[in-house]
Amino acid sequence: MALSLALARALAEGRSQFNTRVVEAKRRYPSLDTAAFGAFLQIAVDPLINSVASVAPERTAAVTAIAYDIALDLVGQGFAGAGTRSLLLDRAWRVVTPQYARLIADRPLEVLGNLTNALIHVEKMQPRRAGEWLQRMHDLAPHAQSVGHLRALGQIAAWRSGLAHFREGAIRVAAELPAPAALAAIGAPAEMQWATVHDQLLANPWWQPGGDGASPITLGAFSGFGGAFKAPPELRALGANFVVKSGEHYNLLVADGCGAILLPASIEDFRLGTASQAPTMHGTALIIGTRRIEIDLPAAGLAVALSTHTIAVTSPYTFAVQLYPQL
Amino acid sequence: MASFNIFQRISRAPTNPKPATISRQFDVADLYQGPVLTGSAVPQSDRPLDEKLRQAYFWIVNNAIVSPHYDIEYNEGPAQTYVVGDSKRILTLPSAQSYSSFILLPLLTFATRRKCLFVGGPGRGKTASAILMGVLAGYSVREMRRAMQHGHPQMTIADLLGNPLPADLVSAQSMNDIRIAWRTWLAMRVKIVDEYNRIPTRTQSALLTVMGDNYAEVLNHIYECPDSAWFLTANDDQGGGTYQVIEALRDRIDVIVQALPFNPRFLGDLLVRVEENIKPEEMVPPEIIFSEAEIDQAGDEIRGIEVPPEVRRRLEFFASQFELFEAAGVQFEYMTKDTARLSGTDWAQVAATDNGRDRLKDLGCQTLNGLSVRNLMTLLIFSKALAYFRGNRAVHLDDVRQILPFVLYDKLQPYEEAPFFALPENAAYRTDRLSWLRRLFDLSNEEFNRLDLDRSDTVNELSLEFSKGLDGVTERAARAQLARIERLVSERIKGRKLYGHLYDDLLKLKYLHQRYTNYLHWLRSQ
Repeated sequence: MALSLALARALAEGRSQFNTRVVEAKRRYPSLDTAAFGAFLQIAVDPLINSVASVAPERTAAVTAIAYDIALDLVGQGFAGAGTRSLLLDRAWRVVTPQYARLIADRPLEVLGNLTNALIHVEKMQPRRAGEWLQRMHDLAPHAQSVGHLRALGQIAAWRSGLAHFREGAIRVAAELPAPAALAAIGAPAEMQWATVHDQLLANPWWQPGGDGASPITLGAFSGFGGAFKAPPELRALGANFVVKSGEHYNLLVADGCGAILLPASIEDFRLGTASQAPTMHGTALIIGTRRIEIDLPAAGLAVALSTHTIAVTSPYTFAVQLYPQL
Repeated sequence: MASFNIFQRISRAPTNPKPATISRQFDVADLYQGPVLTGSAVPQSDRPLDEKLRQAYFWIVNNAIVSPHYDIEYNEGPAQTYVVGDSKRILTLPSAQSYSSFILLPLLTFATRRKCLFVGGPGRGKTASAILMGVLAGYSVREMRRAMQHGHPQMTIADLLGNPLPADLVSAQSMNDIRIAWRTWLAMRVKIVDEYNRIPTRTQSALLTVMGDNYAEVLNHIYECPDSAWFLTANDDQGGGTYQVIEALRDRIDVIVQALPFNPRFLGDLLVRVEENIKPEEMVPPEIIFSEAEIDQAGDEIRGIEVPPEVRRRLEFFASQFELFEAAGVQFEYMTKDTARLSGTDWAQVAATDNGRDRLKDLGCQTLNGLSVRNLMTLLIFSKALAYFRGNRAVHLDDVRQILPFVLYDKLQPYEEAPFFALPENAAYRTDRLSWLRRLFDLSNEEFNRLDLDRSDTVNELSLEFSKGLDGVTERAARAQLARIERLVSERIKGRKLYGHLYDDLLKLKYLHQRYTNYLHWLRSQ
């Protein structure tokens, strides 16, 4: 596959400098795979440069220089190329960054850096849902009028892709965006009033703007099968969240209608929490206030912890935590 | 195109991560931090100073010093160990974050504004490390190089401190009329004296005044120096310099660090420096440079680190081992090594009369002296500094164990004729003083455990009771305490053998007895 004319010309014009950069990068990253770097240039950088050349041809050389350096860093650190640490980086550069060509032409380092870093962070925190984040960033590109907008959209998309701890910050930055951008980022229909959406989001973490009720969430599995827990987890409610003890490890569990996530916590946090209790059962259903939740676990050892908006159910017979909205 | 800044990256991840606390979790800045540096990182001013100190350490380890040796070992759980060679030495792969003394000790000296001596052969980075410390304090490399004092046999006091102005010398009617052109290095917060053992003895005395009392004097004029960190270097601290270093000057040095040899496996890193023409000391990232206020604050925070009573007790027990010299005195208080030393008597002759005890087991037999108050204060402050550097709020026993050999390096003198050194397995301790000192501390702790002093320490209980004060103590209660002290003395001397820790316990009991006796006298007079 040949390089586009735009990238080929930019590389040819700065050939000696670009070659020097590779030599320098090889000193910094002795295992730098130059073949993988070449492939990344061709597959991932080329579509971006081509897009930049079409919207701001005078910025092609500058963007190429910065994209080239970032690509060297990414390949050198193993985020791209053979045995990559990021499964989606190629796709992000190939498919998503061209959507931001105009913004990249103005602020190449910030936009490429923010998109790349955020993708790697979401992949680390919610590996199964990073694709969702990427798709959202692709779809939201027309709303990103500045780097500030891009960062806000990225944060909202990260929250909606399962980084539940970003929820409060995401709602706050959404309120600072133009209403159409905020509604699109939240996933609300364009005809809704932002003020209504905003109030609902603040009132109930499990509220979904699309109108569908929030679905229960199952979190965690045995670590031997790639899950998060070495032992069946024990939960304590701590305000709006939970603290999970599994073996000797402690995590903070943050959950809302967009997903649930485990973050590091300490034994002190666990001690501060309110212990789980044995639930009231009616046949195979848990009875919590006016709620009735059908459950497919043995009644023996079932434990329920209640946070401000969430019901968490654990059992000695499973490594997973079941999460339900309170209302 | 900007440079890749090979030498200017500092650690952005926590350098010594601790179990997370929940307040840290919700920082959205995490989302945009990653492998691409966008210039929008978290403001560095938000960092705690202990983190900044660690970042400085790791920058030096990773960029400035090639081939660091991890000789300050910490473990969490069992470490992997290997027995190597005919001498059956132990190679340990530590299971926790461990450190290089050659970098860590100067950094702690910098943070506490103490005095550090680098020893080791030429070309091992002693001066370069000292200059780096100056750069961390905000000075340029050029300023540090110009301010560095190079010891040489013709160095005069005027070379060191400053000259009287020639015109004033001619016209002055009194000493007060003579103005002094003080040397600029005296005003600096990091002071470097290169090859201090080449300075003539008389000039060493002037240096002693500056180091010890923080002022300089020329022709009756005084220059008050600011508090500063001192870094001295010597190619050979065992007497190989041009001049013998006066004892008082050596005693002012708080820690001694040995520059270990270069490992040729790291030659590639040297090659990069040659090819890139890079001097790391000229590329210190601004994020790790400390302002004067920050060093002040770090010093305050270090002093605020707790030394728990159980750690302090073990240190007391260790320090008790060395001063007793039973054969040196008649009166109880004078049975010390200091008495023997002051008398000028032949040491071996007095030592030969010291029999009856297990001289292999008695740690005191291994040394020619005891510990001074200054040594103990230095040990405390550096233990606190190490705990602070590790992100802890209290000193652990391991911190004392690791720092102790560098503080006592030339303070606790080995008595090489002692039976301990005659054992084949201990012969290497004659040359490896750091390991010997650490071994001494380990042996002291083993004895402390054997005596079960963590759980049963009656002298400590009596001291705690006394520390509550005598206000309101009745005559009956005071008499009961006196009887208890007398009974305890009788019990403690039943074993007949006198060891250092027992000697100090008996002196402490005597002190308590005297305080209660005086109190009783006062009570009766009311």
